[in-house]
Amino acid sequence: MNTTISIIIIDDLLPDDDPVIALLKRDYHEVKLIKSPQEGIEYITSHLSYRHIVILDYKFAQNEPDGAFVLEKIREKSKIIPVILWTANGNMITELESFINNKAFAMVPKAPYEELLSKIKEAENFINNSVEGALEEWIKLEGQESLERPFLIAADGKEYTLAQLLSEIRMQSNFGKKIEKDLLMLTIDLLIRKKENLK
Amino acid sequence: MPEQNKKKENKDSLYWRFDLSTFRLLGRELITDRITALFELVKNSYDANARNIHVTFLNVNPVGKDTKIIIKDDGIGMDITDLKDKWMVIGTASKRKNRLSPAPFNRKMVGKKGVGRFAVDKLGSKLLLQTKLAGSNELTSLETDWNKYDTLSKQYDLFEATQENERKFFTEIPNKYWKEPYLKTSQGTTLEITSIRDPWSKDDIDRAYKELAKLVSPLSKQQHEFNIFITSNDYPEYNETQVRNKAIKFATKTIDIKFDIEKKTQESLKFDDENLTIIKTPIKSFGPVKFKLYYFDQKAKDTFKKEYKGGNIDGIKIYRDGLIATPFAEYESQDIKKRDILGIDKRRYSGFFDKVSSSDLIGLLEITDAENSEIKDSTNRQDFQDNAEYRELKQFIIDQIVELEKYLKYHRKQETEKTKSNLKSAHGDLKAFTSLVRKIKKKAPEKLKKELGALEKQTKKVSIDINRGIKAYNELEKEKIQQENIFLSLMSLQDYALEIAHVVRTSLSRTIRLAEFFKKEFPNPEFNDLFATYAKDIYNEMTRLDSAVDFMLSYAQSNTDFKEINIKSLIEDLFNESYKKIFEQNKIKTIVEIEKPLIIVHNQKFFEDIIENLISNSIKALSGKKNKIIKCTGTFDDSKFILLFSDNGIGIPKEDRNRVFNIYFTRTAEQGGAGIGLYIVKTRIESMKGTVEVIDNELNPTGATFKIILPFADKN
Repeated sequence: MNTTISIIIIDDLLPDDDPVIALLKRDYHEVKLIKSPQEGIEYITSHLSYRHIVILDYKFAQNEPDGAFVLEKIREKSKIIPVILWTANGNMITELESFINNKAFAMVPKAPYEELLSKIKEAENFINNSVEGALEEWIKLEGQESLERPFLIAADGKEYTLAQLLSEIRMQSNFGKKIEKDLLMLTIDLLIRKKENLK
Repeated sequence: MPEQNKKKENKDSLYWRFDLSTFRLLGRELITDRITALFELVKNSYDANARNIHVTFLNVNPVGKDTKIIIKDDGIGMDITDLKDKWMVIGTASKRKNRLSPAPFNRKMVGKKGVGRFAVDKLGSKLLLQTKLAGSNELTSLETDWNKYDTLSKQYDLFEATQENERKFFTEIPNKYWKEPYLKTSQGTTLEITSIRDPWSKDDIDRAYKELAKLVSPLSKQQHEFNIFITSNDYPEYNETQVRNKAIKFATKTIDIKFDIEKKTQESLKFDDENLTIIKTPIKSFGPVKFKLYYFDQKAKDTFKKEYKGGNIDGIKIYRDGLIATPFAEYESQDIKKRDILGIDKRRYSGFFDKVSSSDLIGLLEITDAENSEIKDSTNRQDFQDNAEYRELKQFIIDQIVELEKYLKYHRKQETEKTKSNLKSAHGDLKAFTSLVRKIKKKAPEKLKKELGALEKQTKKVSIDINRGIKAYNELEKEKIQQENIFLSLMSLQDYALEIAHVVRTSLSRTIRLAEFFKKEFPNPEFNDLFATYAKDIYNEMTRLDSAVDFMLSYAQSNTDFKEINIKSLIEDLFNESYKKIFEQNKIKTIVEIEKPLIIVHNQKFFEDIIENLISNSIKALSGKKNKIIKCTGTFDDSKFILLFSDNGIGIPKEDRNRVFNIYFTRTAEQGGAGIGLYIVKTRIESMKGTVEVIDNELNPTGATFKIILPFADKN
């Protein structure tokens, strides 16, 4: 079981005992079903420090925002949370462009579920292989209290905690992108100079 | 590698290079069609302070070696530094930094993203750009051949393994430029595009004309002239033809909505039972706007179309700083294909009866970059970014149209009443005249009597004809109402079809997932409980699908006859006869109190559907309860019939009050609720122009009360 990645499903018609939920519960420590798009946005934006994969329905009840709007709101807060769009009515989607522009991780049909599960695996790999994922793993080993400890002093003298660094990387700010690149380069440098070994 | 990059390069630095996919994204995908492309290039000329732009199409139908499109302006032009640092730089920031074009024009820059130049590629693959600054005696020319980039793309497909060190990038293709002496007095930029991709028919150039005519708002006063001329040697009617944005005339009603920035107020339309008035509201989230709305009735439309040959009454346009923002260079000859960006025609039942549609309106909404900064261009330049402010702006536009509709409806009714009353009084006058003729005839000499007798006969005949006319008029009115009702039902059917398709798909998807689970996981003792649950779920989903199909069939089977129905006796019959046994079996006490008879003209099946679904919903909600009651009371308030339908069942939590009417929402799944009943109730009531809501329960301690309001026209 993967202990740190949560699956958030935003879908107003999905029953709590759907096979997809049952199967995901076997592999992930938390599978949360949120039935209102607004609540979904609120939940994700207030839990940015956790690792999520979001499964998003497209068409909600009348008067509710659609999947395109939810994705846009998520992207305002995080550029890298994988959001997988799943829909029963792929051919009725008019905001395809918006999904592409807002970097939807994938778009899959609601049935069969095989494709969804395989995209979730891809998203999991995406998270685990990212710098952000590696940092998360490291924090897990060090303990949650390490999040708020000063971790790095930038060239301008500004101090960053791990939590702040994670947030910058998640938002893909200029600083976030730079630190991501620098960390990778540092790792390569350490490996080349044989200061560290890969286990 | 280009010279300038070599100079800057040093061994511990890396440089971005980008390949063809980026170029394609910018050029061919952001600029969606040829007209948009032309539009972008003309906008560039506008930003360069051009007064006159000449667009020339040479030998464009059919396309051959000598086909050219030339766009020539007399703007400020560029020197080699401008070419290098602006034209050749994608996404030039200069337009974002400098919001105004150079003095003395100080035009608001309309091209902001620095991608307009890629529009050339949409028109043709070769470009010769010639440009000259005022006062300089040097003409600079630049040649670009997009074909080279295409070749590059074929050689180095992104997904194919290539020898990376040999790979060339978009930025490494050389573009030849040269300088030559030229007349000092001239200035401007000429784009000569060859290897034209598609032929331009006369219809295509007509389209370009119409769209270019919309570029500048007819309301904005351009301080400095801005003229566009079109020439084509294929079509003699285009010979230095000036593109003109004609003044909007002949509208039936013109409305002017403004704002006051000092008092921070936005004007808004309000129908006050008789007239359209302007009210002042606080400035909205999208910022202050000016809105000029022209409404055309059929007669005015005919005059407009006759006067402006081929001119379209084409809905609402949004101008930013005087230049068109949306719908942006979008041309469709058939109205039905036009994208309804503002959602005016998407409104339910639009185009029928009291609703006005885009083809009845010309609207010019003016926004500015400074005051309406939250309204942002979308990437494809065809709309604005979907955010809360833009949504509110769209709603604001719809609200104005709704008020106009109320006003038009009122005046149509007044006109009808006036005609009716004129007919009645004509009938009375004629009667008086006949009786006068009769009186005169009695006293008249014999000689005249014969002629007066004929006159009396004639007036009697006319009087009978008028009377028939009045009757026929009343019949026609009644028929019209019936037709409207049928149309409304058909229009709502469209919405039902969409909803039903969605729920059927959702249900099928779930069933497939459940079956897939069995197929892949059975037998597995870990999931034994789930197997049992899912078998039941498959059964329930199938039952749901069955009810959805039944619902669809109810449409096919119900006749569309509209007839007089007595609501009071219909409800009483349903309770006391049709459902009597069911109520007895379920030990439900019923209370039916309808104040007085009400006769409406409608489809009886539709009304029965409402009551039957409410009854069925209540029966499910009462399951397992003691002292079960269903109560139905009908009262009257002016021209409204108010029906309260209550039970003392499990009740509806406050947070679900709005959701219970959504299709497939159910709280009684255990009792076989499919989530369709209350959806039918709501849509049927809406098709009767009524409303339904869940209010606080009137029966204690638990229960649900539905309040239905049906408007009716009082015959008296």
